[in-house]
Amino acid sequence: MKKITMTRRIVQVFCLILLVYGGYIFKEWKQSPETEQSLFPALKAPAGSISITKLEKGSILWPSGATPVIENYPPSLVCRFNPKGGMFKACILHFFSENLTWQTQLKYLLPYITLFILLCFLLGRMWCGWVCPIGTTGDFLTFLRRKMNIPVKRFPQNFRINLSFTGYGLMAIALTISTIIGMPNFARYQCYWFLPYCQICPARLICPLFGLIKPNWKDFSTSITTTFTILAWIVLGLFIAAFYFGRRVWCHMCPVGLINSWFNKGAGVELHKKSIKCIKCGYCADACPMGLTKMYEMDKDGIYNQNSCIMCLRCVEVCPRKGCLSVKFFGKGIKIKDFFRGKNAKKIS
Amino acid sequence: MKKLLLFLIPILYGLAYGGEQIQIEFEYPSITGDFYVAGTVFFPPAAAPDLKKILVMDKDTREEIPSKIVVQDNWPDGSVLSAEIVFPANSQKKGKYIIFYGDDVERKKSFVEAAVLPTVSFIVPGAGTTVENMDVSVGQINVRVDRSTNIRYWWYILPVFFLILLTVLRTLRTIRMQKL
Amino acid sequence: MQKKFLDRYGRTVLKGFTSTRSIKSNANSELLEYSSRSKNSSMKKFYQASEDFETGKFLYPEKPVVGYFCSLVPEELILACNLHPVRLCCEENFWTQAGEEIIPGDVCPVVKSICGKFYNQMYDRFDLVVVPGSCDPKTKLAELLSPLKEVYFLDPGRDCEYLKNADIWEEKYTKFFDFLKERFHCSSGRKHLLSACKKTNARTEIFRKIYQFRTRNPEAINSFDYYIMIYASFFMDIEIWNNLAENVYREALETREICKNPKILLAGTPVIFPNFKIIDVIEQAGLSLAADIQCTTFGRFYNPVEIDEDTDSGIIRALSLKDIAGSICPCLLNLEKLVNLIVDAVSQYNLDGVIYYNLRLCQVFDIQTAVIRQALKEKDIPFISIKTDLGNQDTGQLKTRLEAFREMIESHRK
Ligand code: SF4
Ligand code: SF4
Ligand code: SF4
Repeated sequence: MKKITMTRRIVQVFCLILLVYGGYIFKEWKQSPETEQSLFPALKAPAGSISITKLEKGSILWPSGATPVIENYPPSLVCRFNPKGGMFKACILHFFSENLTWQTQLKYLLPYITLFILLCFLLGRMWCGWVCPIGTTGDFLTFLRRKMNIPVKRFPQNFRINLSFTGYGLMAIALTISTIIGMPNFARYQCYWFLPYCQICPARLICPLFGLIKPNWKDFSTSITTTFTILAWIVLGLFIAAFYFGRRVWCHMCPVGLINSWFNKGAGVELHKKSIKCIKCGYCADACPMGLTKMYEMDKDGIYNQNSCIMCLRCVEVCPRKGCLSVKFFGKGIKIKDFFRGKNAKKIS
Repeated sequence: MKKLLLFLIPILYGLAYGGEQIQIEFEYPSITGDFYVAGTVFFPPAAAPDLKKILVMDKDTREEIPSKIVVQDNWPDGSVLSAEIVFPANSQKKGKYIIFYGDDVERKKSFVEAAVLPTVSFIVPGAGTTVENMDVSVGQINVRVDRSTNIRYWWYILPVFFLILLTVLRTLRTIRMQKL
Repeated sequence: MQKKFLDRYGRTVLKGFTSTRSIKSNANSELLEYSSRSKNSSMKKFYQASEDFETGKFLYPEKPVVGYFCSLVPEELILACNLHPVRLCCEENFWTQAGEEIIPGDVCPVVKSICGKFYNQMYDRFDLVVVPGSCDPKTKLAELLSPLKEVYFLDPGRDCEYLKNADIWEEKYTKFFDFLKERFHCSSGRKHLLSACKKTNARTEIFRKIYQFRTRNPEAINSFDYYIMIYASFFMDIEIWNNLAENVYREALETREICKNPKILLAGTPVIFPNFKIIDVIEQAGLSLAADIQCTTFGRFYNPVEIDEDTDSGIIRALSLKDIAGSICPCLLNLEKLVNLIVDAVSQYNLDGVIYYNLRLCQVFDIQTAVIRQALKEKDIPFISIKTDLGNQDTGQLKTRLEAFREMIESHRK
C-alpha cells in the first residue's frame, strides 16, 4: 500500500472510532460541568411535537439503548442511530428533514449551515473518501471481497448516472414529505412519516451494530411501518451488494454525498493535471473507485475536479508519472514535510 | 493562513460540541428572602433514564441544590422527555444554577415545598424553541423574554453568502477550464 | 496454429538450410572491448553473463524456460507460474545473414536474425515461445517458429485506448495465464502473481534510480554499461539482476564526474547488444547519451505495476495496463504519447537534443519520424533522425553527421 492510501485508511479508522465511539472516550469531558454552553446550541423538537410524543414505543426511529448525540452538523452523515456515546448527529439530510418537520426558524439553523458550507467549501467531498463511517464500512466490504478473490464488477457510466438521479429522487421525496408533515393540518402523520429517508437508510440498520445494539430490524405493526421495513431491507441489500461487488457504487446515490458533491468543483482541494506528462496508461481511471475517467481523458492542463469524485486521491497516487496528477489546496501544493519543517525548509532546498 | 486553516479544520471537524448540561436563567425578583424557581425542561431521548438522573447544581460552588422534579412526559423508551423542576433560591445569595443530567448523575437531595413562597420561572436559553415572545405570569412576577432580534443568530448569513458566492465562482472557473 | 501444415513445409525449409553455427559471431570480441571501457567494476558480472548467453553457456535455473518477444507479453505471468522468462530480441548482422537463407527479401532484420538463431539451435533449451502480434513481421514470425518450438500467439490488438479495450486485454491475458498454468501443470494464483509483481516493481525502482542518475551524470554508467545491463535483464534471473544493478548504482553514486558534452536523448528502435554501432558513434561524436525512450528500456521498466484490485483478474488487468496501455511500442496507436514523452523528458532533464534512431526496413519507426520532427521543430529542440542497418559500412558517414549535429547543438545553446 502506498502512502496516501495508508494515510487515508488510518484517518478513516480514526474517524470511525471518534465518530462512533467518541462519546465513550470523551465522556468525562462531555459531562464536565465546566464546559460552557456550546457555540452550537442544541436544536430541540418544539414542545409537545407530535413527531416525538406520539411515536410508539420501540418504533423504528428509536433503537433501544440509543443515547442522544450531540447535535452538531459536520458535512454529513453520522447518523442518529449511532449507539450510545456517538458524538455527532451530523447527517445533513437528517438535519434538513428534521427541521423542516419541526419548522425550526432559519436563524437557529444558520450556525449549522455555516459550518457545513465552510467545511464543504474547504474540503469538497473529502468527507466521503476520508471520514464517512458508512464509506469506511463499505471499503471494508470491498476489502473482504478482494480477499476472497472475487473480481470487481464495473458498472457502465449510464448506470452510475441513473443511480445519482435515483438519489436525487429519493432526496426530493424525503424532503417533500418532511415539509408536508410539518404543516399543522398534516401533523397527525408525523408519527409514521417522520424522517422518511432515515427510516430506509442502511445506516439505520448498520450504525447501531457498532455499539452492539440491536437495531429495529422489523416493525410490522401497521401497513406504513411494514412498507418502511421492507424498503429498508431492500436498500440494505442494495447497499451491501453495491459495496461488495463494486467499489463505492452506493456513493453515487447517497443523498448526503450528492449534497456534498455540489461543492466539489469549487472546493479548496483541487486536483490538477499536467497533460504533457500523461502517457495514457489508464492507471488512474482504472483505480478510481467512483469509475471516473475525466483525468484520463483530459488533454489540457487544469483542474479535473468532478462532482462525483470522493477526493480519495487514489488517482494521484497511482499515476506513474511524477507531476502529472497532483493535489493542491487553493492552487498551492500541499507538502506535509514542508509544513512540519517550517518556512525555512523551502529556502534551503 | 494555510497553517491556521490546517489546524482549524480538524478542530472544527472533530471537536465542536458542548456538554450535557442545561443552563438556566431567571431574573432575581425584588423581594428579599427565599423563593422558588420553577420551569419545564425538555430532555433528548434516553438522556435522563429516570428522575434520579437529573439534578440542579450551583454553577460556582458545584453543590447540589435540593430539588423537586416531576415527570410530565416520557420518551417511548421510558426516559424522561420533559420534567418540571422546582428548587429554592435566595435573593441575597445570588447564585447561578445549571441542570445536569445523564447516566452518571445521581440525585441525592430532594425537597418538598414546605412554605408557600413566591415562584419565579426559569428559561433555558439556546434551545431551539419556536416560542419567540413568552409572557409567563407567576404570582406577582412577570418575566418577559424576547430573543428574535438578537444579532448573534443572524451574522452567520454573511459568511454563508460569501462562501456560496466563492463556490459558485470557482465552480464556473473549473467548468470553463474543463471545457476549453 | 495449423501445426500440421507448418510442420510439413517448415521442416522442408529446414532441410535445405545449411547450419552456420560452426562459424563464430564476433559478439565476444565486441563484449571484451566494451567491458574494457567500463568504469564500473560491478558491471563485470553483467558482461560475463552476456558473454555466456551469447556463446550458449548461460546457466538457466532449473525451471522450464519461456522465451517471449516484446514488452507486450506480461513477464509477470510467466514468473508467477514459476517459469524462467527470457526476452528474445536479436539485432546482429551475423545472424541476419544466417536468417537470410530462410526468409530472403526486404524483411525486418530483427526477424531475420531471430530466425537465424532459432534455426541454428541457439535456443534449444526453450520450452515455449510467446510471440505477440505487435507488428506484421512478428505475426509471421510466430508461424515460422512453430515447426521448431511450441509457440503461443498473443495478440493484444493495436489500439492502446484504455476505455475501449481494457476488458479485451484482461480477457486475452487471462487466457494466456490459463494456458501457462495448464501447460506447465501449476496452480498459480493471487499469491504468486503478487510476488511476481513485487519483483518487477523492485526492478522498476532500481531502473528508475539508474535512469534518473544517468540523466544527471551519464558518464558514471556509460551507455555501453547501461545497455549491457538492459541486455542482461533479458535472460538473467530477476532477483539476481536486481541485486547486481543495485551494486552498480551504488558504485556509480560514489564517482562524481561532471558531464561537459551535450546531453542527448535517444528515441526510436531499441538498441540491443551486439548492435551497439549507434551508441559507439554517438560517443565518438562527442555526445553523451543521457536518456532514452525505447521499448526495451524506458517502455519496459519505467512504469510499475499498480495493483488496485488484488484479485486474480485485477492483477492481470493492472499488468495489461502497464504492458499495453502504457506502452510506447510504435506499432500501437500512441504517437502523441511518444511526442509528449520526448518533449517532456527534454525539458525535465535539460537535454540538448534528440536523436531518432531508425533501423532500416522497419516501417513503423520510419513513418513516425516526420511527425516527431515537426513537433520538435515547433518546440525548438534540435533533432536528427538516423536511418541505418545492422552492417558496419556507414559508420564513418554517421559520425560526420552526428558531429555536425553536435555543432548545431552548440550553436543552438548560445
Ligand atoms: S456518498 Fe454517502 S455513504 Fe458514500 S462516503 Fe459519502 S456520505 Fe458516506
Ligand atoms: S495515471 Fe497518470 S499517466 Fe496514466 S493515464 Fe492517468 S494521468 Fe495519464
Ligand atoms: S477522481 Fe481520483 S480522487 Fe476522485 S474519486 Fe476518482 S480516484 Fe478518487
